[in-house]
This record gives sequence, structure tokens and C-alpha cells, in this order.
Amino acid sequence: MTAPRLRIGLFYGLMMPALMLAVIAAVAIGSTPLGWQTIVKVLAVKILGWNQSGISETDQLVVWIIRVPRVLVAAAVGAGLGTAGAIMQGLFRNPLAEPGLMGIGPGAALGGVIAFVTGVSAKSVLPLPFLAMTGALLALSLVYAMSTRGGVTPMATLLLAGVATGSFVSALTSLLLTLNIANWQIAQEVLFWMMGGLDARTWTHFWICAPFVVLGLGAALVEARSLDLLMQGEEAAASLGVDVESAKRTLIVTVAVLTGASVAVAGMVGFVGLLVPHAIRMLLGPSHRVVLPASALGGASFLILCDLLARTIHPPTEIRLGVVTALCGGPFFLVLLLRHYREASV
Amino acid sequence: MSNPWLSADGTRTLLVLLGSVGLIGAAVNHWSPPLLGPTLARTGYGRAVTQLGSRAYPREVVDSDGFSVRIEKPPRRIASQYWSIDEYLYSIVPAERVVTVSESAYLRGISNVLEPVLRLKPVVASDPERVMRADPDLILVSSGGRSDYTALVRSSGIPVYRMFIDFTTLQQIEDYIRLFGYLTGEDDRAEEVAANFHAEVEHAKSLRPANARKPRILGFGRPYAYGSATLFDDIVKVLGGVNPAAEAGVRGYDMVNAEQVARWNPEWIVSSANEGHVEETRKKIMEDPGVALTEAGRKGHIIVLENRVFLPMSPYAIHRVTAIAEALWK
Amino acid sequence: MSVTLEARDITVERGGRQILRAVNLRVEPGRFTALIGPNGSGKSTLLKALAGLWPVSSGEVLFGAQPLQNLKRREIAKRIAFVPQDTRIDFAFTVDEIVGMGRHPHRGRFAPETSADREAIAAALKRCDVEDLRQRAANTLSGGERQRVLIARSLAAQPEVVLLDEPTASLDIEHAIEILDLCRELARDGHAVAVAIHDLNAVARYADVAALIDHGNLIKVGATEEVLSPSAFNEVFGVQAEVLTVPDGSKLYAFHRLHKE
Repeated sequence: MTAPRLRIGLFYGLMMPALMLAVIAAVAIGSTPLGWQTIVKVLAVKILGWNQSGISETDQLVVWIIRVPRVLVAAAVGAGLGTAGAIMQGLFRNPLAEPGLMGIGPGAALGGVIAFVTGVSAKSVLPLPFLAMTGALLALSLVYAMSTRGGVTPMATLLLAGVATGSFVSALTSLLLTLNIANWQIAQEVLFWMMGGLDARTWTHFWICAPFVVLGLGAALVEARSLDLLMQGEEAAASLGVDVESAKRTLIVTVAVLTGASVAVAGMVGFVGLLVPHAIRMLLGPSHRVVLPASALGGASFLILCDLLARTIHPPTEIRLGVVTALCGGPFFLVLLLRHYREASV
Repeated sequence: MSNPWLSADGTRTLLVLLGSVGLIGAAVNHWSPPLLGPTLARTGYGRAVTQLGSRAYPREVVDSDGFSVRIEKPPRRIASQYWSIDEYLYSIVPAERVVTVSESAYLRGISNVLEPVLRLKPVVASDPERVMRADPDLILVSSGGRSDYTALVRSSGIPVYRMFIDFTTLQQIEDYIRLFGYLTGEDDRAEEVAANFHAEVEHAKSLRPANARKPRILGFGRPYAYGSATLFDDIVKVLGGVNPAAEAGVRGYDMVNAEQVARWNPEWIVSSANEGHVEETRKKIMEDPGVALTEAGRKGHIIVLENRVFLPMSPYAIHRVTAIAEALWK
Repeated sequence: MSVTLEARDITVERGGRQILRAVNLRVEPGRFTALIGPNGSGKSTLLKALAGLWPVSSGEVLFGAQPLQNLKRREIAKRIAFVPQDTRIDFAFTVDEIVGMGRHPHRGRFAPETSADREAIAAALKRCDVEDLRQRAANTLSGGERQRVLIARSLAAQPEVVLLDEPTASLDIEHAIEILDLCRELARDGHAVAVAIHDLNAVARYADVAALIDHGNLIKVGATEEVLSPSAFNEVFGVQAEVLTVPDGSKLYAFHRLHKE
């Protein structure tokens, strides 16, 4: 059941300060020592326009150009993936669904690999995110076109088409890699990107990702009630006045945009879209007006913490972000699976 | 619904989406010129630049991305991010001025600058934060390196020069020695090093007997070979040899098979090996089915050089030239 | 004012096959109409076409004088309710929330619950006798409870027409009778009620009108007693029946396989 107002209020009351703290902690902890007082001072200078004296140029650079963008990108990507996961689980009426099922992830990966092997990614910051996003949207359009007949998109067909397209696109990606494996630098960069990572994130990356996340969350909230109704079954939703195909289309495209924007700036990061909405639903019930924003918030906090772990577990090496989320998420996913099957057999 | 593949609404949505992505890309490009710069129309990994301006400060140099970099005064704290750049720097400037190096500088098997690096312990440049902490006044990144790293350090306001590093001729290396001198303010020292480099190349060429036939020399490490447009190819040419892979149309560093190697029938094969694995590698190459059928294989004319000697594309490339010349004619 | 829902000469195609062929049927207010026929005859499809959920390839479905095509989805939802057969709910919505969803056609996208909404929900819960289950999670309900909750959801919309697809299929005797009693009450109250149903004895006891469908064709429609004839049993269902009359006047049928001549 949807938690009573009190529990929801408590959740936001705790989560928002927790997110703030996570941001500050993540900015405070880095590869070189930096006191939190310095950080607060730099933020005051940059955001509130305070006087600069007393803070070294280098400290300002480190905080404002290196650390803050990275943490903000982590928040944006986490929010995007959390929301996308919540929508997927509602659309497919399955708590084990996640954004990667519609071929979007592999499509974005192919776009990214094309950027790497053609060399455009080395020249400028924008081609990689742009190609990844385009790859995601093209893959989705292919999947959608394959599974839509007469304006109707059956979810089971969508899933099959998504998995099939994903396999095919992944094969293309491997092919490109094989042809270019002589260039070890490219091969290494591709491998690292495909394991996800937030190193060397700039404000540009934040501005590439954040607007799409905000748009996506907004579009999802508009359809939140439709999602609740769709979970009762498509026929039931239609009989209660929902324009089912239009709602599905909006939601599917929203998932593609959210996932595409996330992969564009962070590479392939998995498990966030699976775990966070599930945990939120366990705490706060299934109503999407609550689950969607809470998943965004939870996803942001989760990814900030995972990125912090990635940087601090084994200094000076940074563990790839996708590896950390998988290591945290894998065991949790197994537990979920076991619970699901135990309950189903009861 | 007449279109069985995509309902009208779906097509519209998709077009709107792709359109928005395009618009946003154009908008970001418009509003953040330092990050995108004049690079989009180019192909390849940046351009080699050898036009040097006047010696007076402030100096302006154009980097491989086409950006004009302004240097106010001779830099005293230089950050390098790539192993070839390390090697150029340590050949030209006093070692104390190099404040960051690539990861490879610390690797025994590859590094030619191990001594100063172990003595002075400069920071490894893979972490941009540590680079900032080293307080550099000039940052040198490679043209093949990550663009987001480059964008990040460029946004700090410190002069960042993106260095072309895909050298394909010895002359380019010699020119770049002078460019490094210009960038670092060590023009005279660079002129010395460049002249030395040139002299040693001439010396290597002179080892060749006057009436010697043009030897067929193949650079080969299973399954790759060095074709045209590689530094190896230029070295072979300079030493008066013929590169059978380039002859056969192989471009760059590319895969070849045993049959091709057999057919090309090189007289000499040059390869590289990890430190301490030279003999092992020689044996493996001799066992290659294609090599066994070549003159090089039958006569045992396999030159195996350690990575530290074979790989550099910097002033240290001279060792590769000398080693091959000596193996051929001494 | 309640109006008649009418299928006029409708043909429904799916995947190249004709599932319904030139079917004419009127679902009148105040009557309990039963749709009967063997498996695969097209009963469900007919209900869904009447509800406007499936498009018709020829003919039209009229509500009052208006073709359903001309009405918006929401308008239809306010006046015609469809209770589907699949009742599985995997997520932990409360009964209150689910019945509340029935108010969707009447609410704006972001509009909060009004007092009118709350009254309609309360009335629907009471009508279906699920008030006690208000705070229970939907995935913990029994089959019968779930079915009643879904009917309550449909009633919350305050429709004029209620269409139910096999509402008693998976219910035990007590709950099946409850549902059928509820449907009869709804009809008496002036709703137009149409139910697709297998149990021919239930049809005999409850339905005012029966429509017999076989292989997409409407074989016969009329008063239940007339439609439930020996020829219907033999030719359409492939069974034979002995008829008994129960003290209250209604008929009871004992079915067995057709004897081969």
C-alpha cells in the first residue's frame, strides 16, 4: 500500500538532507586533501559571489572545475537511471525490469564505440555523448518500429524485439572493436567507457545530461497516474479512460531519453535502474506519483555514494563505476530474485 | 493506420527527438567554444605544426587542435601527460622543471626517463586534480588523448598545448625538438639536441656500404606489420632499405597473415620484445610459419629490440635507427 | 438517463481473421444480458467491441444515437465500464487506491480527490461489500475478493453500462452467487448489464436476455428461455440437456454428452 503521508514526508525529510550531505562528502573526499571549510568557502564565492580572498586559485579550481561537476553529474545520472527504472518496472508490470531491456543500452554503447574508433571522441568533448544519445534513440526507434503494428505496441513483443536488437547491436560493437584492436589506446578507452565512469567530468557534461533528466522526470510525472492505471492491465486502463498507446509511447521515449542522456556522460552503468525503484517501492508503496520522484532522489544519492566508493576503495586507482554498482547491486538483485520466487510459489 | 512499420505519431515523436538532440548539441556548441573549438571539420589525430614565431615573449603557438596557445614567459613548471612528451621534455629542459609525467614514465620496461623520474618523483598526470595541485604553468597533452581530460584542464585557465604525437618521419621528430624548445623557452638547448639527432641519423646512414643492395626490411610482430605512414617505414627508407609491407599497400600498423609475409620474402625482420624476453621472442618469430619460408627466417636475420629501444617516437627514436643500422651493417 | 448500447452489424478482424461477423446486439438498460457460446466463439471480443476497446472493421457501435468512434476515450469511460477477466495484480496497491482509480475518467490529470470522488468510492465499496478490505493490499486478496474489488472499481466511475467478462470463471460457489446477485441488482437499478458467461444454469437463473454466439456469428438473441433450447445445446454446444423445473419457477439443466445416433 502507499505509505501514509507521514512516511512519505519522513522519507523526503531524511532523503533531501542526506543527498546534500552526500554531495558535500563526495566533494570533500578526493585524491588530494581538501578541508570542508575550504569547500564551503569556494561554493560561497562561486554561487553567492563572496569575496575571493583567503582561498588559493588551485583550491578554487579543484573544487569548482574538478570535484563539483563530477558529483553533480553523478546526481543527474543517478536520478535519470532511477526514474527510467521506475518507469520500466511499471510499463512491464514486473519488478525485475530495468532500462537495458529495450535495446537502448547497447545502442548507446554502439554510438559511443563509433565515436572512439573514428577518432572524433579524441578531438572534442561533444561527439561521444552526442553519438551515444543518437545510438540510444535509433536503437529504440528500431525496436519500437519492429514491435508496433497498427499503432499498437504489445509489451511482450517490445521486450523480445528489445532483447533481439540488443544482441545484434552488441555484435556490431564487438565487430568494430575487433577491427580496431591494434590501437591499444582506443581499445583501453572503449573498455573503460563500457564499464562506466565519471572521471574527468566537466560542467559541459552536466549541462548535456541534466536538462534531459529534468525533462524526462517531468514527462514521467505527467503520466504518473496513467502508469498506475497501466499496471492494472492495458484493457483495464483503457476502460478507465487512459489513451494506452499514447501513454506507452510517451513513457517508452522518456525511458530512452533518460537512459541515453545517462550513458552519454557516464558510460554503461547498470543496476541503478533495477535496485533503486524496487527499494523505493518496498518503502513507499507502488503509487507512481510518489515512486518516480523518490526514485530520482534515491538514484542520485546511490550513485554519488557509488562514485565515492569507486574513488576511495583502492587509491590511487579508480574502480570503474559500473563495476561498483554491479558489485553492490548483484547480491541485492539475487536477494530480490529469491524473495520474488519464494513469494510466487507460496 | 496505413503504415505497418511505424505509426504516424511514432515517426513524429522520433523526428522531434532527434531534432531536439541536434538543436541542443548546436546550442551547447555555440555557447562553449573553448570546448569544441575549430576541430570538428578535421580528420585524423590533429595536425603536425612546425611554424615557429618570433623568440620574443609573449609567444603564440598553434596546437594540433588548431587552438592558439599564448605563453607569457618561459615556463618553469611543465606538466606532461604522455610518454613521448616526457621523453622530449627530459631531453631538452632541466629535469626539475617537469612536474607531472605519464604513467609509463615509471614503468621499467618502457621508460627511457626512469632515472630523473625516480629521483625527482613527479606526479603521475592521469588524475587531473593532482595535476592542478602541481601548480603547472604549461600543460602538454597528447592529440590522441581523452578530449574530456583536455577540456577539463583547458577550463582551468592554465596554458594547455595539445601536442601532435603520431610522428611518421624522423624529420618531424627533429622539427618537434625545436617546437619543444620554443614552447619551453629552451630554444638553444633544443637546437643542440636537434643538431645532434640529425648528426646521429647521418652517422647511421653512413654505416651502409656504398654498393650495398637495398635490403628488404619488414617490421613484424605477429599478427601485425608496419606499413606505409609509420615511423618504422621512414626509418627503413632513410637507411636505404625497402619496406615490403608498404610496397604491398599496407597502410599504418595493420594485421597481416603468414601467407603475405612469406610472399613478401623480407631479408630482415625487425621486432620488439619486453625487457628480458628478447631471445624468447626471436625464437617465436622464427617458428612463425610465414617467417620460416622467408630469407630472413632461413638466414636467422631477425632483429629483436627491447621495447624501450623500439617503441619511442621522440628524440629517443634515434636508438632504434642506430640499432637497426648496426645490426644490418656492422 | 440510461441509453442503449448497440452493436450494429459489426465485423471485428484481428490478425487477418474475422472474429465477429455482422453481429447485431442491443444491450438495454434495466436488463441483465448474458453472452453465451463455446470457447473461442467471440463473446469476449463482442464485449470489448461494445466497450469501445477493440476497433470494428465494419458496422458501428452506438451509444444512444452516438457512434462510439465520435466519443473521446474519457467520455466513454465515464459511462461504459468494462471489467476484464484477468484479475491478477502484482503490486501492493490498496483496495482503496484501486477503487479510487475508477474515478480517473472524472478527474483531471493532477486534480486532487474531491468529495464527489470520495462519495462515489464509498458507495462503490459498499455496493460490492468490500468496505472491510479498504486498507488491504491487492496482492493479498482471494479470487472472490479481487473480483468484487474490480467491480467496485468500475462502479466508482458511476457508469450507465457495466460489461463483465467471465466474472465467475475462477470463483467458488458462494462468491459466484454473490457476483451474479450483484449483477442482477445493478440491472434492476437501471444499469445496462452484459455478462459473458459459461455457466448456463446461472444464465437460466439470472439473465433476462441471452445472446448465443458461435464462431463469430450471433445465432440467436432473445429471452433466456427461448435461447436455451435443445437445438442450441445440440448444435452449438454439442451437449444434450434434461430440463428440471425448480420450485421457484426457474429452469435447471443437467447436461451430458450428445449420444451418437
